[in-house]
Amino acid sequence: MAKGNDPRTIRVAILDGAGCGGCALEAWAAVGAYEATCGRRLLVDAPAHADLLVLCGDFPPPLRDAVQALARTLTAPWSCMRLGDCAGEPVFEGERRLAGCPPTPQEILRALTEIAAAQEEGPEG
Amino acid sequence: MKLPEAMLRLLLFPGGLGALALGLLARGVAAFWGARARGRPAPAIWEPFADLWRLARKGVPEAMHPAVAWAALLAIAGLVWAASLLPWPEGHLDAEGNWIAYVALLAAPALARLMAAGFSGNLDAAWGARLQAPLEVSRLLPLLWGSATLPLATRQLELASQAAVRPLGAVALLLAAVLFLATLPWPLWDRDRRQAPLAGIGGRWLALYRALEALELAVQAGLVAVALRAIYLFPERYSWIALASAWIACTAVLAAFEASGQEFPTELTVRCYTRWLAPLAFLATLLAAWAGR
Repeated sequence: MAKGNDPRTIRVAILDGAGCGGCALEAWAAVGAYEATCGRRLLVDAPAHADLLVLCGDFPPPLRDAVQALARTLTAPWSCMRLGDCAGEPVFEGERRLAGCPPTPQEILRALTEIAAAQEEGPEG
Repeated sequence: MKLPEAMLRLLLFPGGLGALALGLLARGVAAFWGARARGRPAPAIWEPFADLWRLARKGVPEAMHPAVAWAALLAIAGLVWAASLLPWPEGHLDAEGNWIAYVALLAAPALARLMAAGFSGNLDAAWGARLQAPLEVSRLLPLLWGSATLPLATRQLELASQAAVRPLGAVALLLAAVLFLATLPWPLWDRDRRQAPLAGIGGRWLALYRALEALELAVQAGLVAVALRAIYLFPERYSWIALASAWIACTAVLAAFEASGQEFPTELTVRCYTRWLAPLAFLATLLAAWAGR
């Protein structure tokens, strides 16, 4: 793992929306590869424990409502990252977007690192 | 004992920050060596400290019952007090009944976790508590039962005094130390899972429960140390070796658990506690009662 490409201790919850599933596959690959090479755990099952929600694909209104309800269990600072060219209407204010169909694991990991660094610097969410 | 000294014992060592640091360090070292033993990349030893720091700086969960935090705070206060009763360094708070208080307070984290699940209002957490309750109860059974060996073998209810026990009593106390190691709270710890008792609790309140887990580990290591000390394995002057040995033994057991793959099915673990460790605890108390007559 290259130095500077390190998301440190943030905890990530990956949610797959109404897309083709390609972004979710790449996100799992990125986080899985990081966990396997650095021995750190990033993924969480319980969304309340997450610092970062990764939303893959589009989230149409019914799914958007569900995710917004889920996000009420998260504690600040937390962030949201949308993956994919098909990500439609915004789900949260200030969410970050990573374009690509799907984006590569390297791009996803780089974005995770930036978000981790931003969370270290100051609260948001 | 003067008030400043008592406060230092309570807040710094062996209670408070000292116990917390030892517990977190044990978890970090165990995760490191557990991963190494499996031939996998190991996390940094200070990872549990970093995790706690990260969580402590987060906000509090919205619309959650304050009893969730109070349960953790009360359990933490109980464990800090229990740890401060340990006879290290010398100049202890030695009193009759300390042993009973120490052992009784070991049940506090289990109650706090189950209470938290109940008050969190989260269905995942409620289901997690239902799954974990048998594990908590079955673990406490041999642990509390085995803890009766010390007063039976040494005829005292203190934590501090060394007692030249008979060989049979020493065997009983060694068995008790093994029991305390075998019932370390490792299988109970929340691992950020859905359907865990703490699944619905995030942020700063989760940090309280992470700190509670570390304190729980440190206090149980203290229990092992007191059992070793009572056997008189180490001269009075070097009795701190008992504490160091207990910490190393606890860390080694945790590392072995980690190396074994991190997952134990609930049913198998409950069976292990009730079918194997509970009879062992019964045997240890019988031996201790015989030796202490």
